[in-house]
Amino acid sequence: MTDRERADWIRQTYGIDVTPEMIAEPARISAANSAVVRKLAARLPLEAEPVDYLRELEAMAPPATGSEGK
Amino acid sequence: MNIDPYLSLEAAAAGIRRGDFTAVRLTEACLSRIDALGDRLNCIAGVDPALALADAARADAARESGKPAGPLHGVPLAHKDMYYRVGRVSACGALIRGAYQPQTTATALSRLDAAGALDIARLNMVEFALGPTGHNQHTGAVRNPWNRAHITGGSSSGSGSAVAAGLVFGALGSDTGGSIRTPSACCGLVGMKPTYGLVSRAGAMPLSFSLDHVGPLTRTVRDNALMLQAIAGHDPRDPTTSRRAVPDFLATIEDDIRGLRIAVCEDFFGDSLDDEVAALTNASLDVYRRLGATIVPVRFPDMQDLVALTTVLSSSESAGYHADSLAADWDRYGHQTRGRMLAGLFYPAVTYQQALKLRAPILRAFCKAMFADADVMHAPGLDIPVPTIAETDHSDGPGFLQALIRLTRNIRPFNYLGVPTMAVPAGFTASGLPSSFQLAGRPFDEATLYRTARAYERATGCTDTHPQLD
Repeated sequence: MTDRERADWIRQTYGIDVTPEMIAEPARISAANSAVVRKLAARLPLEAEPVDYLRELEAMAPPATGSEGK
Repeated sequence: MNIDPYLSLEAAAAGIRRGDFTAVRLTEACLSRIDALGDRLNCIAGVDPALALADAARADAARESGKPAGPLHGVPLAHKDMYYRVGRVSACGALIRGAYQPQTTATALSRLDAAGALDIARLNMVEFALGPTGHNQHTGAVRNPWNRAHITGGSSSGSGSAVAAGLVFGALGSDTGGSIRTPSACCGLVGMKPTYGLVSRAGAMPLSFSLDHVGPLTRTVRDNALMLQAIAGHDPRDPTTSRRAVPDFLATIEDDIRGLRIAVCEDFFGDSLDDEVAALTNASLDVYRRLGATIVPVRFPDMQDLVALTTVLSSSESAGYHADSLAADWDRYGHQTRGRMLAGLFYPAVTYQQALKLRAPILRAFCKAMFADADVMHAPGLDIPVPTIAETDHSDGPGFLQALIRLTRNIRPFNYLGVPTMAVPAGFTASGLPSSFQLAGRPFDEATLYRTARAYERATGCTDTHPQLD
């Protein structure tokens, strides 16, 4: 997709009137970061649901001390 | 009686308890300093002196009548202008929110109120908390009290400036990609991004619900622990908050750190460190060695990827909040803000979802790598000396996104992980601007971070020097 096509897509999808110049860098950064996610997703397990992250925080914590939360 | 503007929050609270001075006297001193310096530093979004003094008088009356007083009773604080309070504007640094009157009060503010603290001003911030430098196209750049030509860091720019300049005794910031730790690093403050889920975000302006953290910026380590103690703990209004017990952070903060094991990640953090910053960072490790800690080299090759993962989540979620407003009010957003939000419109749903699902396994891998044989992790903060406002005035020009992400590359990974991470002052560069290092810990182990930071503070006096502004 060219930057002009991306700008047209943004306009049609979100109603935001952008120029190809405005979106060139955001689109490039997004593409690079998406590639990082794809690379990690190919290597690491994806079975977890997002909420498992909260359980993992608790699991990785040291034993609790102090009184129950407010 | 003159009151030292750089008195610690803890000493100010103790002084009120003892009757050395009143809350009104303390508030008058802060208001006088805001009057003298607020415009020069451009850190104040709004202040109502009559209201602040009336609140202080009520605090004094309560103390005189023998009512139980909280640990922060009568101490003037001020907060980033994104913590909602019923009956008060929260502009969030944005033109389109200039008259926004929230219908709720942030849990963090309610808890500080319950601890007796006074909330005397709203502090400037980067528009919608989206920017690491402190620039704001609508309200202007907030100025660094150490040198007004230099950035405060953002997005909690007013919090950094106001606390460092002694205008108030502490402030709340928010940290989605470094917005507490960056201004703390630039302004010579202690800043804590607590564990994701330790502090409620209810009633705080949302930017990225997966990454937003609420935490304090203060002049000392103990002050920071005092403020965090007041706001931490489960909140039914924020379902991501943990029901875990909140420890007494001050109970262990003075404990010895002999035998403590400090992990230093050999990947990523040293890659682009400026020589002067590297020397200060290494000197802080030498201090820890002298204090009896052991430095443990560790590897975590995925660290660089965490910068990308943080950006995927923050961009996607902030764009989700703002897509409709961007269409309706495009010209009333700052150029940089809308440019950053545009990036979020390009992430496929699959990418966003995978970034979320990878969070648990990556957190597990990180904790195993970093803390299997260590108690805390030490890392640099900014990898360059604090830059000037002019040097970082990118607006949305070529390369602006990359430059902004680059500035906080050492700081952003910890938002994706959600582990507690704090900024600790580490002396000054040759230009007289503060430097800083970070300490990160296991989830919900803020107590060990405070103990480690406090040991450094005791040994070096790193929080004893203040900017000369008068």
